[in-house]
Amino acid sequence: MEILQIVGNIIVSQILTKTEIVMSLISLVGLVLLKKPVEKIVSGVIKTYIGVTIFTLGLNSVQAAVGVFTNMFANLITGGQGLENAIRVPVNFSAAETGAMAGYMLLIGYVVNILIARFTKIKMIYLTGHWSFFMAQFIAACVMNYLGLTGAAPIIIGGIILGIYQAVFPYILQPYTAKLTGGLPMALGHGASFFALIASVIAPKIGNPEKNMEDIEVPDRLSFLKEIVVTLSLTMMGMYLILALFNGQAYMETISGGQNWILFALFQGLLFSGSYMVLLYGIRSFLAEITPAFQGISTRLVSGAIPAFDGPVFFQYGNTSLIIGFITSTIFSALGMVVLMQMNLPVPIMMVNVENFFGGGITAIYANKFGGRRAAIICAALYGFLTTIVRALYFPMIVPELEWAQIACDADQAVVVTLIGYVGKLLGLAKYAW
Amino acid sequence: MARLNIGCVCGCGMGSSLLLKMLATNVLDEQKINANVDCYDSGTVPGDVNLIITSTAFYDGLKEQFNGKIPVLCIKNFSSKEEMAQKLQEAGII
Repeated sequence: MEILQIVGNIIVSQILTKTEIVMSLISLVGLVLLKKPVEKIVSGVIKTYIGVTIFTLGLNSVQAAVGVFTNMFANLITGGQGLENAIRVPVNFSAAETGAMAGYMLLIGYVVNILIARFTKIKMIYLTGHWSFFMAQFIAACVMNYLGLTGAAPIIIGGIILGIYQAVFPYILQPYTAKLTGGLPMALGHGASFFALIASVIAPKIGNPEKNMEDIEVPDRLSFLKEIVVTLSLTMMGMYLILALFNGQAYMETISGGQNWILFALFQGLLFSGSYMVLLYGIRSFLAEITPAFQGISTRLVSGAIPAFDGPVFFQYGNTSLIIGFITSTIFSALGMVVLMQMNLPVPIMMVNVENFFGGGITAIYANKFGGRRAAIICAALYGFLTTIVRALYFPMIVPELEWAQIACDADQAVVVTLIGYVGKLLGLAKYAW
Repeated sequence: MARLNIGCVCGCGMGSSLLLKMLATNVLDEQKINANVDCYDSGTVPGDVNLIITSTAFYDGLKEQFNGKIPVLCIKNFSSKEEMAQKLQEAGII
């Protein structure tokens, strides 16, 4: 019996709580249900495991670059009191612990999504695996760290919330998405969907759809901005450089390890971008196994399902809006950062210019459809500013995933995680004041 | 004939390119055509793929980059197997 207990303990504490294993199990279940041949199952499971491993390596590397940023940020807002004053809320869990819990939530979320599509008139199947995964991570971080809940119950509740999110957010936006695509059977499944909804609703009131943004040609040379590695590198070098200049040479030389302080800042920005690309490669590897399995199963179980697709699928409805939206939301996101710097928050918040491209672009595309160029610019500006400052509300709740949250938060994460946090707080579950 | 290598491309190589991959794999499987289909971000497409499939946003850039050496297909409707099949046919794949 003792042996059994030891084995049981090992399984629970060292295998089933490891993100790599949980994600591999998900792809194993999917591939088996799809009756794939053994060799495909083996390679799928291994690729998933390695994908998560690469993701983790990328995240560790991002953390190093974020650490430097945090130091600079903390020095600036605490007047030289250092890193220990940058995060002033308790960090009770590691990203590895919350990540494993997120894996289970992802699985339950898929099941709930299929059940909703099968048995209600909300026929949405959410096919953007990375946004499901991000959402799961932040829900997990919030329930564990802020609300102090662990074990099966919060996994199930979190999974159900995730499943509802996946079905309902694309659904409430669908009347507008259908007009955008001319009635194609596809929905938007992207973290910015809540803001696309806001934009679609207010656009007719602030603009005129006749004055279409797409009538304006953007210079072809601006299209290099669509390459995420270029955009990200340029912005991150800018971010690190500005913070370095504010901190001044004397302080920067204490952290640059003998390197010229300006070069040090620029290199850190590039390190961040390189690490981010590693992260992307890892996510890509495991999603390439999990998403097709989910799609295969859902098409067998749900007839007439509408797939919710990632934002770039909709870029074809507004190439000019995309670029103008990105530039506008970048500027206003930077303004939002200036506001955040004044707020003396208990966590550092950095501006990573990825979602201003995807989310800001999508917002502008929807706004342009329903309110023309004026609405597109105003909504993209609101997007950049609001999705940046709203982080002040919920970032302190998800500190174990803080590095990741800097990169992968959009409007929907703000809505869902903030709601969970505040409902939990009202129920008296909050573990610390925020 | 060497195995066909197809690259599906989008901004980050994990969202819409994966959707293109699933769509293309569906069509190719139906036609019993054996091919490697992989996803790439627009900055890291290797030069040894036989065919590139992408969406409107990245079409012009990729076409310019590969300058007639590798055919580039542009898919508009991500839920249409017909469009994918038609374009693969035009490219001489199926």
